[in-house]
Amino acid sequence: MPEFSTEPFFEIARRLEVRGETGWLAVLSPATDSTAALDELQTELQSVLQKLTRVIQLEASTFEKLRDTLHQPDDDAVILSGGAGLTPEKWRTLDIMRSALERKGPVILWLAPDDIANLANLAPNIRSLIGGSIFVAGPDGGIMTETERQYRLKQLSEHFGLTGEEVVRKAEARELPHDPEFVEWLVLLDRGDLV
Amino acid sequence: MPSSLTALQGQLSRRDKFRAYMQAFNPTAPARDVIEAGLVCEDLHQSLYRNLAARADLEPGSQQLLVGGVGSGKTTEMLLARRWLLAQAHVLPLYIDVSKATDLGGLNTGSLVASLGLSIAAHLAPGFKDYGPGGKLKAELGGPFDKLWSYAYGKFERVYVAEGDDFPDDFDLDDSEDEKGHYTFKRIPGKLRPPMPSLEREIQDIREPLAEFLSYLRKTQREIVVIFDGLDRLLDATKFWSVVHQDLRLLRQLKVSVLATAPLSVLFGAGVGQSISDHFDRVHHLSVIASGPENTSLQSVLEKRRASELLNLQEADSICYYSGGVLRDLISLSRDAAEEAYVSDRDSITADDVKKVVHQLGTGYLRGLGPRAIQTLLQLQNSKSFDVSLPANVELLLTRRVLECSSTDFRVHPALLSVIPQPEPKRA
Amino acid sequence: MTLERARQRAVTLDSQIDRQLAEHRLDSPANVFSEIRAYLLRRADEMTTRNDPYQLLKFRREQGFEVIVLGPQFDKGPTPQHFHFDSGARLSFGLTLREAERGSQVVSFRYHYAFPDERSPQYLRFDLNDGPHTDPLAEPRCHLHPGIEDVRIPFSVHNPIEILDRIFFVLERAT
Repeated sequence: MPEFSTEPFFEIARRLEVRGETGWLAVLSPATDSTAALDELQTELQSVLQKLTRVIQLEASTFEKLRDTLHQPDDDAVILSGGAGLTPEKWRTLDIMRSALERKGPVILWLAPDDIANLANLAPNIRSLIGGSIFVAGPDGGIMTETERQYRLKQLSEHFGLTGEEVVRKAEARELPHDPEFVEWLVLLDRGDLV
Repeated sequence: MPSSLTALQGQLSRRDKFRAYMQAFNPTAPARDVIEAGLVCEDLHQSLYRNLAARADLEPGSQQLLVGGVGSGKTTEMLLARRWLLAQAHVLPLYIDVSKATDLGGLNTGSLVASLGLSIAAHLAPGFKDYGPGGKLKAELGGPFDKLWSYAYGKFERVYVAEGDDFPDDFDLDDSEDEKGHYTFKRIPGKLRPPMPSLEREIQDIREPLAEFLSYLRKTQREIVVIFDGLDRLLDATKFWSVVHQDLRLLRQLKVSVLATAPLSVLFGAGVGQSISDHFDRVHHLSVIASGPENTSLQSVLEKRRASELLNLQEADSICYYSGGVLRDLISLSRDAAEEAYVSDRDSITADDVKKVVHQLGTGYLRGLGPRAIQTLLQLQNSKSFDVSLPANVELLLTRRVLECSSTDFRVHPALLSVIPQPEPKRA
Repeated sequence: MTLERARQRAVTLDSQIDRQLAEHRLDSPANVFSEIRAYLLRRADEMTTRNDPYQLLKFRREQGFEVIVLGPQFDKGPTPQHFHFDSGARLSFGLTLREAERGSQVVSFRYHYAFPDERSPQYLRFDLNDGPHTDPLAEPRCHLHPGIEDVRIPFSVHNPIEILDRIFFVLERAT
């Protein structure tokens, strides 16, 4: 079965930014830590788009409430969450009211992977707005890899002529200089307790 | 390594260039804005909008349907029709997107005429103040306006509630003398709010106030053409008909011309669709747009939006093909391909970008399809056979997995076809 | 007027920095990282020189600390990991945060802006040490190197974005 593209939240936010901070897209949540992932998505959207980003739970919303919430204001970013709990009837209702959901700011559908079937089968009008902009939530590429960490430790050792163990001993003896490079060194050695 | 170049004066940054392209290729832009920006090819459907508008103008009371799949450009044609009608000074076209104002799923008889009545009232007096005390329309239209308003939005009625009783529907005040109770206000819901199931309202209640508004307008020799958009969201033909048929009958009696969008299920599928079509003077079908060497309409759509800024001819042709002739998919693919190029740090769209976005679109269509549906699609692809009377197949049309090139010519959406799992070849 | 009085004043200044740091709060480490990356993305989009903040900016979280880095720890010449400016200048930096109530605290930072070749001074570097030096006059806790390693001019506590603002909108424009 073909898969959707995996994108980190930063890139998803960047896509919305180059669109002119408008449009619809769908993000498929990870199987675990979905709540934490939603928080991260919200953070990235706010940082990149420089707009407030609200999360709206779909199940709890009536037509009027959802329409009014989406338009007050209508130019911030909104994440519509809660696809997994939606009945087929609710999906159809959302689809029927598509025009009422249209707004200036971007709309991000936060869906469980299985919800895409409901989107395609029960909400063709909304699916049409989203088009191919369906992405699987991917890991943040900003995390320092082990290779990168080892390289930095090596650079520090070569520059100061000290090993990691020597740095730890000096820190324990409170003999380590206070330069920012040494602080980073200790954290990279997983010895933040000595900072 | 660093570049010693600096931006030439007046040269757009890379981001600005892509953003300008994105603005032209926004599949969620309101159709009105796209028309005003001059990005629409008006002759794309052989100026269908002129046919719609001219008939509505020449035949007061005529009723026409515009039927098309999701993303086919119905709203654009309707707005172009409206613009054409506006240019005819004796016509007042009123465009109403019913799905924006109210819960379309909760619509029932009377909702369309209520919407029309309010539109006329708003046209004559924006903000409705002129219907109130001291207003210049109070004498002539104040009464009809009040009736129209309460029909649309409901009202409060003062009712007597006996002790221990709930709100009685048929309470007779004469019987109240020996009862203990109190007066209170009870809300009677209107047509444009979800009504309580126990209440039934006669559509004839609205006829008289609406007729008075029409009469007032016709004094200035303006005929009304109402354009109801959004009704195509009622994908099920039976539901569509249950909402519209009494309203449309009343509008025909009042000689108001109607243009309305309708779902594909009105044209295809067994049973109710044909009987619906018979009620209309004309049913126009907005099919997908053919793509091929002999027909460059889709390429014209791209060029109208200056696609060549980022898209070469070859990739443009590819996008046209894989859109299947669905206008919104054409715009989406063009936008998404540019987005891919942008995030991949390229300065223009490449074949890889197009391939990726076609895959994305196709995968979106593929999800939710069971083995039987896939079998149907493969059969359509291989043998051109597609039984449009089957409900499951109508669903494939409504969800755009199958595209209608005409009333008898169907094919699988090309983007979907590019990702659909093909069966293993049978061994000899 | 004596050297001793100068040293006393330097100690007082360091104490002020300590107090500012104790009160200074940033958002959570995750939010700070996200904000810096988005800031660099916007600046990169405004330039001709290609930079990819998504690839350049890295973080590591460990035991309540977060290290945010871009480029090498020591500037020994241009590398692909630097952030490169249209003027030919380049930037590398490192920032360490500690999670705290109501967000995070700055522990230390270093922002090294290297001017294009054959410029004088060759670089400016903003440093915050994680503690006071024995000689705050020679080495204030928060200081600026004006292209000379042994010269440190006192500097005040800033939000990371405020420092980047001075780099992008003051230093780069003057370069």
